[in-house]
Amino acid sequence: MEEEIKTLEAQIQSFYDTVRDAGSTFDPELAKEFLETFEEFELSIDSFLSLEQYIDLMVLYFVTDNWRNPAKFLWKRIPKAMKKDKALVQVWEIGKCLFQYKYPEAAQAIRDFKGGNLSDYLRSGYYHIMNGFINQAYQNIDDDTYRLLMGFSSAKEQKAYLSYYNKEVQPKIDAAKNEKIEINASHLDTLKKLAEFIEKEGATQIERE
Amino acid sequence: MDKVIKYAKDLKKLEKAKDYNSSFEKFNEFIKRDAGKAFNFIVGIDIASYTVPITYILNSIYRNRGVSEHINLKELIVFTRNFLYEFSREELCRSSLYMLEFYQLAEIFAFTVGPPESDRPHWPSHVSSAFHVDRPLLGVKPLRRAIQKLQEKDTQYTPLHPYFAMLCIHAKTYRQALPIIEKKLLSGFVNGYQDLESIMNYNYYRGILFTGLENYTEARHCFQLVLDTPYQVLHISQVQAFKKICLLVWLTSTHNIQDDDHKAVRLEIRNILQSKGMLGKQLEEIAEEYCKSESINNFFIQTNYEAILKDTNMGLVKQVIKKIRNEILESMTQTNTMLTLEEINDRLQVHREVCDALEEKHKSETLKQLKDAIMEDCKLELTYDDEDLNSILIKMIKSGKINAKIDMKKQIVVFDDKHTSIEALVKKLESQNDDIIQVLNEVENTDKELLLQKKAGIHDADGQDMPEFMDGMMFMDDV
Repeated sequence: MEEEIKTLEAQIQSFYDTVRDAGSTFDPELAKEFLETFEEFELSIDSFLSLEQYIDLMVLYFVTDNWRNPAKFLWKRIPKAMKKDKALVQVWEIGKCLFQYKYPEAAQAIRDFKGGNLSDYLRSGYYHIMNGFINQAYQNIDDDTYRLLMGFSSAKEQKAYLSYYNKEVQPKIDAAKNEKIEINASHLDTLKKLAEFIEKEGATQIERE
Repeated sequence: MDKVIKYAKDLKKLEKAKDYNSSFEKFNEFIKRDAGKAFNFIVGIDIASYTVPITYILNSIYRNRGVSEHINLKELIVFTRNFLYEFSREELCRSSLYMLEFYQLAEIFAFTVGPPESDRPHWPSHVSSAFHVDRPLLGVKPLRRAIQKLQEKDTQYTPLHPYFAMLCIHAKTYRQALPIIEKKLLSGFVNGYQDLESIMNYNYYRGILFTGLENYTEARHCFQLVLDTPYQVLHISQVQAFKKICLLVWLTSTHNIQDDDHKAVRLEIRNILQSKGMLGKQLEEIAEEYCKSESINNFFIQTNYEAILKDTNMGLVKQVIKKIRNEILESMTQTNTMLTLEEINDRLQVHREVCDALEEKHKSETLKQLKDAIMEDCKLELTYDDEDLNSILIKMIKSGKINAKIDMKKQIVVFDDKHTSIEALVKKLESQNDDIIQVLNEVENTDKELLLQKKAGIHDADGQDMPEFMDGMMFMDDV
């Protein structure tokens, strides 16, 4: 078990390095892998995680799918003595705002949050999630609401963000409208499995007869 | 100390478990006298080679209340975790007696790191509370690993399953339990023992875990398995499971827009009661308490919050209330392609009358606080303004309950649910097909194994040859 703990520690360090090198680009698959490794690490060690590790784990929950209940249960697992820490309380307040869909408050809290090792990662993850949500929920949106939801402090900051990411955001909106169902490898796999099963059933019946 | 080492090495040489057990009784005396040295000895040896002696020694240490003074508890827990991780399956499978000792050790360990004795009404008498450490998280990964090691296939039940599920609930690691609990169990463990109560307890814990993961369909299925366990009198777990089923039926029923009174829900619960026969009559009183309502609005008024709070089912009740509110909004998508925010607001105002009636009925302070907590949680405010309504709509869109887009310029909501719902249905059917194929393959493989055994000349329990007409049909009948 000790070897496994060392391996997990090395993987976590490598994730930290990758996140730092990636800057403000957010990769949801990487976030999911990072989270799963961190969860395994929490189960493997004999002691509690450190305060920074709990903060980072909470941040990872916020930027991945289906995060609500796991984040809530993580908060319940954290020792009571640690819950007095300011940074931990701050990150939990962010979680509460996200939980209640109070996006403007969450955006503001994320701007002000500096704890743990993943505060920038949280910001880029939040932008990624909000862009997806705005595409999903709004046919059109005014500048003020957009700025409020994303947490930009000024029109200038908003413009800088959009001009940097414009190539990603704009085509996504168009792509969502024109999405068609196309046959891909997973559909073919399913068909193949079904066909093999039906063939086998037919052969077995003939044998029995 | 030399005698301890000699005994441990001698034990390893023994071929028959019967001799092992009788030798170990003498060895146990050394453990009681010199537990610290016995523990130091086993810490230094290879776990895989000495799996059986270590199992017996650890069991002896945990059961002897007097030895807790001589051993560092933290080191003992750490060593036991390592042991459950690195034990040798082949060594244990040499005899069912060894396996029994191993299961008892796992049980003791689960209760040692699990919740305290005062919280558990069924604390096993052989588990010493002298060693108790309230950190259930410590037991999750070792038990998970032990289960995966013991299983020949991942659909095989082992007696460790209920302890693992119990620890996951207390450690609040619901998602981490999924690799084990999501597997459908189709066979028992060969060299072990499985009693009805432990399987029932496992299904009950599974139900709680799936409820925590908000997979209400699977949770309901698990609680139904608990209810279907054949007892002549109702077990307490079955009563608790039925109460949860009453609420889960609300959460898993598909809303029919014509059925404003949710007759389908009440019919399902009546069917469950009828299927239990005489035992169903005892459950009728419980059903009365939990499911009195005859209409959507009456659910809020007639629900017995006191009983539900006592049974710690408030979380489920809140989910039911939310679902009913969401159904009102969903039903609008079936009759309208767009609605103004004002119209939606008017429709949801029906809850104002309900809230007034609730306030009138439950005047006691405790229940008033309860009601406030529920309303806060479900955002059922007495009056709506656009901002509140916006946040409710955003919640529902984000969680996929309705497919709609808000048009801020025109202040309308445009609904669109054709494409996504069909795709979701197709995905659901595909996953159900996969499950069916897996189960049928398992059945066929087991059938083939039985046929091969018959051809090899293995007889049934009475020493008779299997009747010819049962060729290939034996296991299928059992299924």
